[in-house]
Amino acid sequence: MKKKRYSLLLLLLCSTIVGMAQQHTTEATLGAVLEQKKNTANAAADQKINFKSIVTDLIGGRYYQAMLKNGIANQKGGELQIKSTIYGLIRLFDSTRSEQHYFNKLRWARNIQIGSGTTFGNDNQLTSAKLSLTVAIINKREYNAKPGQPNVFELHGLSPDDSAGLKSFVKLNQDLVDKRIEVLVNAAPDDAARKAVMDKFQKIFDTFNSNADFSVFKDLLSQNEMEQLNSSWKKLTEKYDSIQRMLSGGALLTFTSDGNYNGKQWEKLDNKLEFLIGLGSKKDSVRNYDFYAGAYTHFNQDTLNKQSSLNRQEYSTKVGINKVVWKDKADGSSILEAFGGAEYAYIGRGLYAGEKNNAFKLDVNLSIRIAKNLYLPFQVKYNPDSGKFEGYLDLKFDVVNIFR
Amino acid sequence: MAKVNVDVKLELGSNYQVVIGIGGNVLHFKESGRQTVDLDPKVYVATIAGFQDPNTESTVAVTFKQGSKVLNSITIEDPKFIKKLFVTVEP
Repeated sequence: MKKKRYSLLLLLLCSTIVGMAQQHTTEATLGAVLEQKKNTANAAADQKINFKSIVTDLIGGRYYQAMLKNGIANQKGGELQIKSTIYGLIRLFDSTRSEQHYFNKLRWARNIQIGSGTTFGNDNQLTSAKLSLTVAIINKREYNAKPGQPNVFELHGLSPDDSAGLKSFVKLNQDLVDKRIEVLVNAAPDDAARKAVMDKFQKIFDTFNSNADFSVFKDLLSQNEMEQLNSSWKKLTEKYDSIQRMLSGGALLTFTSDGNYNGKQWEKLDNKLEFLIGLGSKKDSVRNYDFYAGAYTHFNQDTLNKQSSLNRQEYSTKVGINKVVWKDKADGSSILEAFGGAEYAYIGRGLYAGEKNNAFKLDVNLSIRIAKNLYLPFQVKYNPDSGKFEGYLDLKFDVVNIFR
Repeated sequence: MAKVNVDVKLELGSNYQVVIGIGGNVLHFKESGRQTVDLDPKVYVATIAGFQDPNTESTVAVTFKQGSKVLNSITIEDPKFIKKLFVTVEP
């Protein structure tokens, strides 16, 4: 049953894709559901079948609610949006296996993201659709240990069996801090006194648990002991930070395709191939650089010429360096990024009057995070041919974090 | 002596390192699971230190149980962490 529902969801996503090229296929898919509806007793209600009832029939109400809850599906006005990695969908549709099982087995599924936004008219016909597919072809920003193999920490010398490892550190904690507190608590003459001592240390724990600074235990520790504990933790976390940095700077090659279909023809069809790799020194733990190269095709409907679909066709390439200027120290996500580079564009079809069919531009942009994985870039381009600056404002989705 | 179960749930990932110290025992977890320690009835301070899988934004949940009774528990979201908490073992 789960396989059937999962297949039906994929069928819905695929049907919207196929539907633009072969609309009769979509009509057949949705028609089967509608036919089933028409066999029900209330014929009058059939006239009010909307996109939501179609989708809930296809997916099943419980899964539809789960998709809304997990953010995979989003209902806005008359449009149903679905965006998820294949991994996210598999997890949603099969809860019989542990997440750990899936995480280890389905790396490929985390590297493919699909999205769709569909709107149906009152006559249940597809009126518009947005589709997207992103595939991480190379993703060196993730390391998965197979059973029996060393994990990423052990590979980089952060083994718990190492004398400087976590086991030794925890043992040191037990000997220097924990046992001394236990003696004080357990020596209390009665429950009230014990509670008072525990309350006092609980407050200290609350501080320590948020800042990992052993100076809060200054009444229990000598200066040397305090420094030993702090320096041991610092040494361990430095190794962890370097592993994180190594992963976050790994090569990432993605292919993205997205398009808008409206009024029985395509309005936009974009493809892009993007490559990203980290640069910078090992000490650059908070602010890192990325080399970026991208190649794009951008086909869109000329708003002044509605006669044929996708009648303006542009090809471009961009190369540059991206720098994270400001990073959230709590979760490591970037808040402000700067990009400097150059781009070349060639218009193959649909030139505007007076427009040149190729352009080389210098490109600088600042991107500010306005929501998780969503950035607002302020873009300034300089055209050496015309000597003019051009300004752009757009939204950008962070593909790097999707595949992390 | 009482048997205390230490349950660790690591969400999503294969690169965890979690070490828990309690009553002189040092327990190591690389994946979700349970380990049992024998402890005398009294108050202990447990230290939980480790690292989450750097690939993921996830959580580590640690629960100390005596039979079906939860003695204490903590949910950790920090990628690198050291935490301390009281665990009171009953007779």
